[in-house]
Amino acid sequence: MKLTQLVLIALAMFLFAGCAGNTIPDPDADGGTMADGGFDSADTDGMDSDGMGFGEEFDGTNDMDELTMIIYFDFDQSTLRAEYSDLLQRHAANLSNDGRAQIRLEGHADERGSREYNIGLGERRSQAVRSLLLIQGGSPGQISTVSFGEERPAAFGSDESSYGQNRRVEIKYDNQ
Amino acid sequence: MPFEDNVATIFVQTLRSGNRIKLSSRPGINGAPAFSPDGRKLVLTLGGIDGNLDIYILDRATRQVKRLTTNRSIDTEGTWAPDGQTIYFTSDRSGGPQIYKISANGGSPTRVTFEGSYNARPRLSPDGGKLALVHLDRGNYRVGVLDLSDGELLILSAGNQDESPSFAPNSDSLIYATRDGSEGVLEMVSADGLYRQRLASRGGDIREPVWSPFPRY
Repeated sequence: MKLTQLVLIALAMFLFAGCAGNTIPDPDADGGTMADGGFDSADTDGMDSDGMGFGEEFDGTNDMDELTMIIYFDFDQSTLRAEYSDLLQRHAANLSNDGRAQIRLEGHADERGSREYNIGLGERRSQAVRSLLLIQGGSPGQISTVSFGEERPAAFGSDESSYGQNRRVEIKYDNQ
Repeated sequence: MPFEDNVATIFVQTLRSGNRIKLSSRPGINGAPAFSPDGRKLVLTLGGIDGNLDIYILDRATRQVKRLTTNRSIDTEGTWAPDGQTIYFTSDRSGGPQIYKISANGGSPTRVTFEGSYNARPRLSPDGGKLALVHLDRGNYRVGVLDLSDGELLILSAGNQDESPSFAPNSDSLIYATRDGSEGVLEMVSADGLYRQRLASRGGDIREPVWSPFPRY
């Protein structure tokens, strides 16, 4: 069991490492509730020591209020920024610790470009989060996705700050 | 394509009666529906559970769907050529959105646009000779028209978030949505780009204009 988890986490690391080079901390990106600092490629082998590595350390519902529920993305990108590694591990742990837990991933895009293509972008963003949660212990039946494209913005301005807040996936737990 | 119960669903609404029939509410995305010229079929985008958006054709009589594309990229915004034989669509299989065409019977897609990093949301002119699209032009999203015979792309609009071009039935002019401050407004432009006019608006956010076809009596 332990070995399987290690392999899965190593795989997750690999996915993150691919995009670690272009990580730009976004002032809008942090909801301010993550307990730990960010994560980047230099931190790859520090996962165990910071106590975040394994699902059994999290007790599903107790953590809920502390967890950030929004993941932000770069322009025209659906690659997960490395800084969300810890956060997504926690959400995955919630799912694997409680088989009844259900989440919906709502993907969004900023308002620029064509509406239907933006639906596609939002969907791919929510699928990127879904894939990672599955790798880290969630099961397919626990995770549903929807894309609202540019139709439900979080910020209404037509400027980069608003766009950055709108390119996101919102994690919604059912019945909580 | 309302998001009822947080699921995108495609309906067909009869204009005269207002009756509404649910046509597609499969898992995942159900989007970008467009009628075939004879009205019997729809091209649409389905995402399925794994969210891989692909182009499908739905036969309205049998409710059967036929998958046209299988690429892992975003394939969406399918639209019919006036002869009903070819589907034009947006795909980011090359890395960014570009326009491709594929036979309505299936086969391999052919890339249609090559200029710039962003060409999306194709619409054919009723005479079949031109393709209207949204083109990223030095940071501005603008309406362009691609001449399908010589491949020349003409940028017709001058805003920075122009979208949803639709040809008039005579193929000589287009209507599209643009922004005035935070408000969506409509503009018309001749297909040669020489004449452009904003339509008067009484306010409110206006988007996605479509020119109605010639009546079929």
